[in-house]
Amino acid sequence: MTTQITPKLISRQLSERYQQLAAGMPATAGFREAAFQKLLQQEVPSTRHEEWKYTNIRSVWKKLGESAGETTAAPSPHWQGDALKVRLAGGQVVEPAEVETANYIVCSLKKAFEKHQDKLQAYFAKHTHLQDDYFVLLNNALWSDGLFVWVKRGQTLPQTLAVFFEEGQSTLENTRHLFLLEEGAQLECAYFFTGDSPIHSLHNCITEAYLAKDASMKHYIAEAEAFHHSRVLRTFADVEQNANYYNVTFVLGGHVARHDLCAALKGTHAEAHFYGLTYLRGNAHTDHHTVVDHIAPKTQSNELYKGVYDGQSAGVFNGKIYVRPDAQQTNAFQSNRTILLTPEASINTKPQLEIWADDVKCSHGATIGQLDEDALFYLRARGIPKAQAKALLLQAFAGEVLDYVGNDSLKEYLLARLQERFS
Amino acid sequence: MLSIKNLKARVEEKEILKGLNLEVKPGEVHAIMGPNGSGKSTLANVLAGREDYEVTEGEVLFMGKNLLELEPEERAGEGVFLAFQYPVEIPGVTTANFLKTAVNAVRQYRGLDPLDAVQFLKLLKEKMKLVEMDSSLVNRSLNEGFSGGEKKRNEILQMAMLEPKLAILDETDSGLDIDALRIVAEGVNKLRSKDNAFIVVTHYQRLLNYIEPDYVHVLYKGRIVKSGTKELALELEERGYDWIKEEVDANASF
Repeated sequence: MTTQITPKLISRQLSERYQQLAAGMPATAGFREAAFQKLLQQEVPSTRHEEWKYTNIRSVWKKLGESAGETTAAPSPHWQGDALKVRLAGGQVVEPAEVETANYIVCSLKKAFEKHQDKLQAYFAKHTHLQDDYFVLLNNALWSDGLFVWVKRGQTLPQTLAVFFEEGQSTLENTRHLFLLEEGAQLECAYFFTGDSPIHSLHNCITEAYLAKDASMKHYIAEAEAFHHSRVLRTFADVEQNANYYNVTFVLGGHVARHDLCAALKGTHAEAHFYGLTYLRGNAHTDHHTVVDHIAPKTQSNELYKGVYDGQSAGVFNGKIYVRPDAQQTNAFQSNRTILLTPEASINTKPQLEIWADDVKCSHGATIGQLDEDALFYLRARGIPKAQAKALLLQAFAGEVLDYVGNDSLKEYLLARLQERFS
Repeated sequence: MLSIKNLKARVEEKEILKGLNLEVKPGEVHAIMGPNGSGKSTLANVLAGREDYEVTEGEVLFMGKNLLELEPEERAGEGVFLAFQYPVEIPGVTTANFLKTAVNAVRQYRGLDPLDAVQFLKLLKEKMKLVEMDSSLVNRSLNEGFSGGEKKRNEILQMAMLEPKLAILDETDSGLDIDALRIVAEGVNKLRSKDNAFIVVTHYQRLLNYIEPDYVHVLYKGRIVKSGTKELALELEERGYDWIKEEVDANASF
C-alpha cells in the first residue's frame, strides 16, 4: 500500500510543505523564504557535480516513495544504556517534550525558536562552512524539527543524550539540530537511525555544534539498520580555544549514506577527532566527506576511517584538510584503510590537503587490500573454521575504531551489531 | 599414524614434491633435513592444508583418513599441528582470545564440551610454564611485536594447548638463540609420548641435539633420497649435502 511519487509530485509537495512550515513557525519564515527562492534555482546534484562524483544522489532522489520490496533483515535492538532519550519520528520530536534546568536545556528546535531565541539567534545557520548547496537550502527551507541543546558554562550534561531517529514515515525528512556548549561545558551524544518502512526514503539531517573555549563534545553516530533508507547527514562543528570535538561514526547498513563532517578549529589548541567504521553488504553505498579547517595556531586534528566492503557495496572517502596561514604549529593526521571482500566491492578514496602555513605536521595515508590470506590460514590451521576465522580478523580490523568509543555500554552494543554482521 | 605415498605437489606451475614416501608411527620423531629448495617447507604446508599448494598425485592417510580431502581446520581437529616457520602477526586479536577460540573449536570438533574461562586459564597457565612464557605476552596482540624467540615459543604453547597427535615443526630452530632453542626443545620433549609423533623439519643438526630423532630423512629435489638414524644427521653436519647430491644426481643420469 504505497503511493508512487514522481519527482514532479515531490516538488509540488515540497512547496506546500514549505508554506505550512513557514506559517507554523513565523520566526523562521524569512529565513525559509530566502532559502526556498534559491532552491528553486537549483537541481538535485548529479554525478557531474565534483562533490557528488561517486555518489549518485539523483538516482536516490528519483526513487523516493517507490516500494523497496521486502526488507531482508530484522531490526536491530535499540541501545539500552543509561541515557537521556529523545525520539524523533517523521521529522518531529515526539519525546520528551522538554528538559530544562538552570544548567542545561534539551528541547525541540521548534520550541527553542519560541522560548530561547536569545540563545540561538547568534548561532543558528551561522557556521562558516554551511554553504548554499542543494541539501543545505532544502534543509533551511524545509526543516520540520530537531533538537536544541544548550549546556551552561562549566556544566556537564549528566547523562548521555541518546537521539533515536525513526526514519521512513515520510518520503523526505529534513531535521535540524543545534548544540550550544558554553565555556568549559561538556556533553556526550549518540545518534541512532532506526525505522523499517518499506518505501525508499531520504533523511536530510543537519547538525551545528558550537563549542566555546574549553568545551568538549563526544558525538557518536550509529547507522546499524539494514533497511533501504538513505540519508544526507551533515555535521558542522565550530571549535574555539582548547575545545575538543570528537566524533565516532559507524555505518553498518542503510541504502545510500552521505556524511559531511566538518570542524572549524578557530582557537589555539582546538582539537577535532574523527573516527569512522563502515561495514557494508549488498548494494549499500556510503560516502564520507570530511573537512577539517585549521584556522588558529597550534590546533590538532586526527582522522581514522576504516571500511569493510562486501557484495557489491561501495565506499567513498574524501578528506579535506585546510591549514590557514595563521595556523602555525598545527598537527593534522588522516588515515583511510579499506578491506574489499569481493572483486565487485569498491572504494574511491582521496585525501585533499591545502596547506598555507609552513610550520606544520600533516600526514595522510590510504590503504586498500583484501583479507590477509596468511592470517586466515594461520587461524584455520589452529582449528578455527573459516567463517569464524574471517569474523575474528574483521573484528580485529574494526576493533581499532571501536576502541575510540569511550562509553562502555555503547561500545558493547556496537560490538554486538558488528558480530552479528561478521558471523 | 601417517602414511604418505608417492606425493607430488606444485606451487603455481613449479613441481616441488616429486613422489615422496614416508611412514610415521605413534611415539616416533622423524627429522627431515635437506638443502634449500628441496621441498621441506612444501611438505609441511601440504600436510597442514595451505591452499597455494596443489597436490597432483599420491595419497596421505592420517589415522586411516584421507588427509588431503580435509580443510585445514578439520586437519587441526583430527590432530595435525603445524608450527609455522614464520608465525603470522595478527593485530587486534589477543593471544589469549585466539587460544581460547582455537582450543574450543578443536574441542568441539573432537566432541568435547568447551572450556569455560576458569578452566581455560588454568590450562593456559600450566602450558605457559612449559615454554617459560611471560604472562604479559598472552594479553598482547597475537605475535605482534614478538621477538623471534617469543614467536616460536608461542607456537609451542599453541601446540601444547591443542594436544595434537602429529606435530610438524617447520624450521622452528631458525632465528633462535641458544637459550630459546633449549626452551623450545624442552617444551617439545615434555610433550613427547608413546601416542603422538613429531616431524621436525630443519636445516641444521643443532636442534637434533636437543630433540633426539628416531629417524632422519634427507629430502632432495622433492624426494626422500636417504634415511637413517640420528647418526646420519651428524654425518650431514660434518660433510654437508654435496656428497648426497652427487650420489643422487649420478644415479639419476643412468
